Amino acid sequence: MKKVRFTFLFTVLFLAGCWDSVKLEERAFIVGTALDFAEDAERKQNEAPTLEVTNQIVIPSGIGFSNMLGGSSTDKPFMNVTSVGKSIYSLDKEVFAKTNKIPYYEHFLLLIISEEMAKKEYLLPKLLDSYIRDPHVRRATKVVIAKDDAHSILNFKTDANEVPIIFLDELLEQNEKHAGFLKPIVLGELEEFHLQNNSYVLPYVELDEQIENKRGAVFHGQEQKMVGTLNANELQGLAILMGEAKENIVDFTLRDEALAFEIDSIRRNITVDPSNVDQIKISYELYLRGSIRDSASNLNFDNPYTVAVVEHLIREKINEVLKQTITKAQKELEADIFGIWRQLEMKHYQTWLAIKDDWEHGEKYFPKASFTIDTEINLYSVGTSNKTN
Amino acid sequence: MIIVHDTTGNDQHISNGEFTVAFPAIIIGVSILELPSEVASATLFSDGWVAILVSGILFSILAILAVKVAQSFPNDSFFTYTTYLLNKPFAFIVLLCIIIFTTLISSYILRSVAFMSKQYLFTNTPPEVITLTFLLVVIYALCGERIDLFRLNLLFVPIIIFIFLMVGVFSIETFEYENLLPVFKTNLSGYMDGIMQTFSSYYGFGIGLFYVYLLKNKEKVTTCALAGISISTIFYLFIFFYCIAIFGNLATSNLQFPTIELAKRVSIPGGVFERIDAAVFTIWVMAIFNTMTMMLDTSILLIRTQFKKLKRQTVAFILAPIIFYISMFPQTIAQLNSYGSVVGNLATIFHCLIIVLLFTAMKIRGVRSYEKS
Repeated sequence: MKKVRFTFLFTVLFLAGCWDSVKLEERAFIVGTALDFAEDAERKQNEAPTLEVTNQIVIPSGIGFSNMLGGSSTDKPFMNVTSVGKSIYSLDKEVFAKTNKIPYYEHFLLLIISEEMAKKEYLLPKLLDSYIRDPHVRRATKVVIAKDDAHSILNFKTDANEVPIIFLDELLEQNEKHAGFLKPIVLGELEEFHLQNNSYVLPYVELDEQIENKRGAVFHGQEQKMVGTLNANELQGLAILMGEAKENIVDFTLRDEALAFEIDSIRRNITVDPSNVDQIKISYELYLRGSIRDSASNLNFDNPYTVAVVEHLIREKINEVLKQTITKAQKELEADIFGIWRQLEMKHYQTWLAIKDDWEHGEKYFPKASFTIDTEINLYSVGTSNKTN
Repeated sequence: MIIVHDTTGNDQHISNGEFTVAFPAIIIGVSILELPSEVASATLFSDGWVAILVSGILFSILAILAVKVAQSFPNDSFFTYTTYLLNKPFAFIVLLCIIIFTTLISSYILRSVAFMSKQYLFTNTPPEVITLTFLLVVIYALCGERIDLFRLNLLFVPIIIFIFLMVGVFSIETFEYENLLPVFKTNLSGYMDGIMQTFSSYYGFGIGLFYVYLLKNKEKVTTCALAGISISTIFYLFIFFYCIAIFGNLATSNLQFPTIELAKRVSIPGGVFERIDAAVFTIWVMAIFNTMTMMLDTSILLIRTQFKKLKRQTVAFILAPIIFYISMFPQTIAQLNSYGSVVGNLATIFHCLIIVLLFTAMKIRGVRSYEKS
C-alpha cells in the first residue's frame, strides 16, 4: 500500500507539467499604458472611436547596475509599443505580435489618459473596464490625465535615464508624501466612484521641458466626463479641505515681505445641516498646525502679538484659497469634489436618499449649498532661528 | 484556549485542541473568497456583519446541540445512535444523504480550486490537470491515519489566520473606517437575505456528530464546538469589515473575489514582498485542502460504519474518481456558483434539520433507557 501511495505522490510532480512556464526573458513587463484617440478620418458618427494604445515595456537589462557601472548608457531601459484598434484587450494581444514577448501586467503601475478622451462623455469608465477586469492588474494602479498627447509622456527622457512611467509614478508618490498633494486616485477607487457616480479629481500631468504635476483634472460624476481643471492654488485648497495637505506650503506677504508657512497637521470637523434642502449648510472647522519655513522680514516671533498677526494673515490667506476652490467647484464645475455627499449619506441618510439624483444635476442642491469655514492656525515652530536678517 | 498535546496516552485519540481547530479547518474554505461580496450585496454599507454574527450564533447553537447528542452516546458511532434514536432505514437514509452531500461539496471545492488557479495563476494548464493534481494530494492525505489530518489542521489553521492578519496589517493604510458608516440602515428582509447568503459558508458546523466518540476527553466538547465556530465567525467578520472599509459596499458586492482583491491591493514597500497575493493564494489552497480532507474523512468514517471490512484507502480510492467525475460538470463560473450555492445551502439546511431532529428524539426517548438495555 505504501508503494501505491508514493506512486501517487510522484505522479503529482509530473502531472503539473510546464504548461504555464514562461521564462523571465520572454515576458514583456508592461509598467504603464497611454491611451489616445487615433487619428481616424473614416470614422462615422456614433461609431466607437478608434484607440491608440501605447504600452511601455521595461527592458530589465537597461536598468540597474549596468547603467551605474558606466555600461552602455545609450541603451534605453524601455521600449514603447503602439497599436491602433477598437478594443483595449485585443490591442493588448498585439504586444505579443510586435515584440515576441508575452505581455505581463503584474507590475503595471500607471495608466495615462489623454485629456481629449477624458472629456468625452461616458468614455472613461468604459476604457477602464478591461483593466479592472483583468485579474493581473492591481487595483492600486494609478490613473492620470495628460494634457495633449498621452503617449508623448512615455517618450520623456529623464536626466538619470529612468523609465518615464516609473519616474512619474515616483513623482506622484513623493508629491503626495512631501508636497501635500492629494493622494493619487487608483483604479480600484475609480471603480467605486463610477459605480456611485461621484465626482473626483485626478492628477493632471503636463509635459514641457519637465513633467509637471501641478494641476488636477475634475471628473464630473453624473455627466461622466472631465469638466475642467483645478490650478495649483485650487488644488491646494482642495487638499486642505480634504485634510491631506501635510507639508503643504502656504505663501503670504507681510509688509511686502514674503513668508512661507508649512502645514504639519490638519484636524477637521465637518457638519452638514440639510434641514433646508434648498440651502444645505455645510460648515468646516479646520485646525492647522505648522511652522514658519521662510521669512524675508525681520519679524520677532518671540512677541506674542507678532505671532497673532502672522497667524491672522495665514488664516486670511488660507480662507481666500479655500473660497476660491469652493466657488470654482460650486459655480463653474458644479461637481462635488469634496465628498460632501458622503457626509450626507453617513449622517443624514434619509435626506440623502431623497436628494441623491438632484445633487449635482437637476435641482442642483450641491451648487446651491452654503459653506461656512472656520480656520484656526497654530504656529508652533519658527525653525532654528528667530531672525536671520 | 489552551491546546494541550497528549504525549502519553493512545495516539489514535483526538485531543480537545485538535477537535476545536477542526471546526475552523472545515468551515473556512472556498467561501471565504466570495462571502464578503455575497453578504455585501444583500445588505447596506457595513450592516452585513449583523448577518454574519447572527448566523455565527445560530450555527454555534446547532453545533452545541450536535455535540450534546453525540456526547450522550460517548462510545457509539453516528450510525449506531441514529439507529437507536430514529430507526434503521431512516438512519441509513440520513447516512446516505450526508455522504452524497459531502461528495457533491467536495466536487464543488475541487472545481473551485481549478477555476481560481486558472484565473489567477495558470492560464494554459487544463483544469482537469489542476483538479487531478489537487485531488491526488488530498487522497494521499486521506490514505494516512485520521489523527494525521487533525494534526495537519492544527498546523495549517494558525498559518491561515496569521497570513490574513498580515494582509490586515498591511492594508491599514487604505482602511477607511468612514466606509463602514452609516450603520443599521438595512431592513429586515435585507438582513434575512444576508443570513441566507452566509449559510453555505458555515457548512461543516455539524462535525461534532461524527467525531465525538473518537475524542479522548469528552467532558468539555461543548466548549470546543463553541470556540471552533467562534474562531470562524470572528475570521469572517474580520475579512468582511476589511473588504467594506477598503472597497466600500458597492465595489465589494461587485467584485467576484473581494478577499483576493484585498490581497492584491496591498503593496509592501521594499520590492521583495511587493505582492502578498501569491502568499494568500497559497494559504487559501491550504485552507481548501483542510476543508476537503476533513469532509472526505467524515464520508469515509460513515461509509466504514456500514462496510466494516473495507480499508480506509479502498474507500478513498472509490470516492476519488466519483468526485473527479462530478467536478467536471460545471463549466462556467456562473454554473459553478449556482451549483455551489444550491448544494451548499441544501447540505447546511439538511444538517440543521438532522441535528434538531436527533436532539428532539433524544429528549423524547431519553438516553438512560438505552444505556440500560
